[in-house]
Amino acid sequence: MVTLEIDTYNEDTQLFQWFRFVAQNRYPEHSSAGAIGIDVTKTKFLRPFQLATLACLLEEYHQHGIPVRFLYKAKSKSGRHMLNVGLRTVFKDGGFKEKFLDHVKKNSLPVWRLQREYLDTFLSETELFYRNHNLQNKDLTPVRLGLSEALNNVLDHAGSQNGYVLSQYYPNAHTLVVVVCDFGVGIPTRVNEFRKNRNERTLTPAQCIKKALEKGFSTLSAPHNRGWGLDNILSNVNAVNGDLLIVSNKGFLWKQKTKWGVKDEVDNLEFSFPGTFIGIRLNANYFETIDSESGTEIDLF
Amino acid sequence: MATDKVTIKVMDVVKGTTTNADAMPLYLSMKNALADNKIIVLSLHKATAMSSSFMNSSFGNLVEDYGFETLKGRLKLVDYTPVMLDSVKRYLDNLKKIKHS
Repeated sequence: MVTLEIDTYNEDTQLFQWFRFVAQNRYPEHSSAGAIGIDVTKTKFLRPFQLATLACLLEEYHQHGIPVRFLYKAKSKSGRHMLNVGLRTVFKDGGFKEKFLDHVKKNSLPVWRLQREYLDTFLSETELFYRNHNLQNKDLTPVRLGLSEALNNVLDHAGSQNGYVLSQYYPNAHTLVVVVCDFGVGIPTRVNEFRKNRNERTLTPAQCIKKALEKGFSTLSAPHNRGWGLDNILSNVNAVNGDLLIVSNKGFLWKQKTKWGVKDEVDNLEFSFPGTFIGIRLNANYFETIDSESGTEIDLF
Repeated sequence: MATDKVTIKVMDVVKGTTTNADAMPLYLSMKNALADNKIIVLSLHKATAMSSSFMNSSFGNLVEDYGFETLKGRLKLVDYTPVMLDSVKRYLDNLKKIKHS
């Protein structure tokens, strides 16, 4: 068995170390392992960004027939959390079989492996869950829109069956975190493939991610694409004073609120992340209260 | 000139508002109504949030077929929340900017 020891990662200062860890421990690195052990005996806590990427990593091993084992201290927070979000259940039982897992905690939903046929049901269930347990009387359109754009992005462009989504509400901070990860092609690869086909010069990974967020730009992975999805995610995040992190191949975009104002970074990485990670942090204080519908007809054009 | 109105309730016509495929029944309903020279009153009663993919394949396709000028006064919205209205208007504003750039 090859054991992967999971450290505690501070998401403000050690975020990219985690993504590098995932990239360096993919299936090809340990293809001859009899099993993969996930050791969280020294982990204080696991954040959504770790759980979703871990799910994709373990799915990759599972798809290649390598079983997954979990090493944790009994009653440890991290061990319990992995159980609560379904990771231990899914990979102990040989992969994601159910349409949806039952939730255990009132402020987080279990991992869900992206399945096109249940997408709309998943979104409705997510909206209902957070409305019933945490955000009563709040208009959760920003949550649904952010999720649907990120999930459509995977379905239309990733070219992979390996995609996971996870969400968690932090009541003290009034923050809802939604993370979507896939081990697909990646945004920079898609953008540069598209540009190469049109005899245009290739861009750096950072430039590719910036390009992908331009209104109306699309790599036309599917004929109906018009290029609004990623820009919509960003607009949505801005409207509720939130944060956005995109990590894809060798590039990233990180828009986040700090004590000193908004930090907006788009840059290249020294390692390559397999696929795309989208992390959205929404400030629930900016969610509107549920409004009644207007009976006044309004012209759209 | 079209004068007769027809109300289309989005959630009666579609199964979801997330994917491009979800939007097809709505697009076809609107297209048929326009072909019959009707003014469409689109009801968003209890509608779930519409993704850009959904709007591409409904409103976006309609704009491709008819153009902004022809659709003036032919499509009205009702039973919308402020958030929903903002989302649709933002999509159409962006589409207009792209078309005219």
